[in-house]
Amino acid sequence: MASRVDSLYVGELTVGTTPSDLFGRVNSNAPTFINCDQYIAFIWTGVKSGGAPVQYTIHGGDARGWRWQRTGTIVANANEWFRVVIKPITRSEWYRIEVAGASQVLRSKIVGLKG
Amino acid sequence: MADDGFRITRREMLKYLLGAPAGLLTLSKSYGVSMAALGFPLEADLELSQDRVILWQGYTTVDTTWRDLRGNPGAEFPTVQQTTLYPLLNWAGYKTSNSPLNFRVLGRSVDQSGAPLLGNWRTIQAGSINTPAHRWFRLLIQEGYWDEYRIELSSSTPQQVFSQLTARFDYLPRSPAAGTDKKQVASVDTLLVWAYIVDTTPEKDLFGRTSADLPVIDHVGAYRLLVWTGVKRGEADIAYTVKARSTDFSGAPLGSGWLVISTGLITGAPNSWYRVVISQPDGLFYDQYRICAQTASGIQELRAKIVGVR
Repeated sequence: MASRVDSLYVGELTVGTTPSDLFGRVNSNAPTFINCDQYIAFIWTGVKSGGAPVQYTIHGGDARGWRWQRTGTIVANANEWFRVVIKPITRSEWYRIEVAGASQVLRSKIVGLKG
Repeated sequence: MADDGFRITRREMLKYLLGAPAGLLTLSKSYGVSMAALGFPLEADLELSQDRVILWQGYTTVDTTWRDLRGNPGAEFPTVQQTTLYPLLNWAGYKTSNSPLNFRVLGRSVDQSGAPLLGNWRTIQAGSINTPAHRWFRLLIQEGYWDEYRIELSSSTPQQVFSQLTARFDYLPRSPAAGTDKKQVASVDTLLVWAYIVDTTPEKDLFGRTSADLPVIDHVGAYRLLVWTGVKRGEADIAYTVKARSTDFSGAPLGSGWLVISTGLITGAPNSWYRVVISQPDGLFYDQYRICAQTASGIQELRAKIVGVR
């Protein structure tokens, strides 16, 4: 059945002070998602194991490089749920979602909202 | 909109209305009808387009007895049925007297067999239309997704009222990348129909379970909005909490516990209808929901239906 959303990512990551994307890659040129220009927003839900906030940075661009970035903080107590809605500044083919913070496990899911 | 369908003049329209109301049903959505040709105001949102359908059109004589658009005074009967898909209805009408036209827009939900959860109705809108004789009026019915609607009319002076009831539905965004370039209607699916005895136990879900980790509805990540309707059979207010969470690709939750997304109070007299819209900015799209309800005192039956809007 057709849907307004696609599941793009489900995973677990140990967050550390070194920024890495959701797959744990520290190369800041590597996209987390590609072929995403059909999405107008991303809804990111999950659970974090620690109480410390997690900083995130969203990069949007294409094969020629990153065009824009947006930062934010995930705030939730240990083992509590969070929800973040990411609205791109412009639709982009590539996205990189980076996280950093005090050491803790982040289990999360991202769905892309078509529009 | 392109006027690429069946055309009809205003005179012909009135002839059909007066002579053969049943025949009007042949002016179906498959032919399409130019609203301009019908004499309706040329407002863009009144024009019939591909995302708007005629639910009913015809006329009735209205007097001091409450009767619906079809002239049926039996309060049990709906004016239109199977309307769950529609977020918005539009009633355009034409009255023939200066007398005010009193109206009531009613809605209710049905179970899987099509039987109403209770025989009475929820009043969605009520009021009086005071336009002069021989003028068009229109009313937007913005409380959508009810399974049945009844629009009742009365007037202190008998008068004829011509009506056209249309509805709009939503489309999903096109997805050329997924090979679905065709427009697809955003469907509305029934997720739950249930009757439950609510008591004062906290954290008891709609199935009567107190185990905090059990979802009430599952595998529902496609829905941007949930509409929860039903009937409360008792007097006491009912407090509810809606919790949500996401799952991995195997259906297992990403963690224990829940994110509380909505709390509130269902109020009303015994046997009255309620409606709770569960939504968040940019849509819900959670995979699991747990809905808990408890009364302030005593016990009572709560009849519930939850539909998901894609």
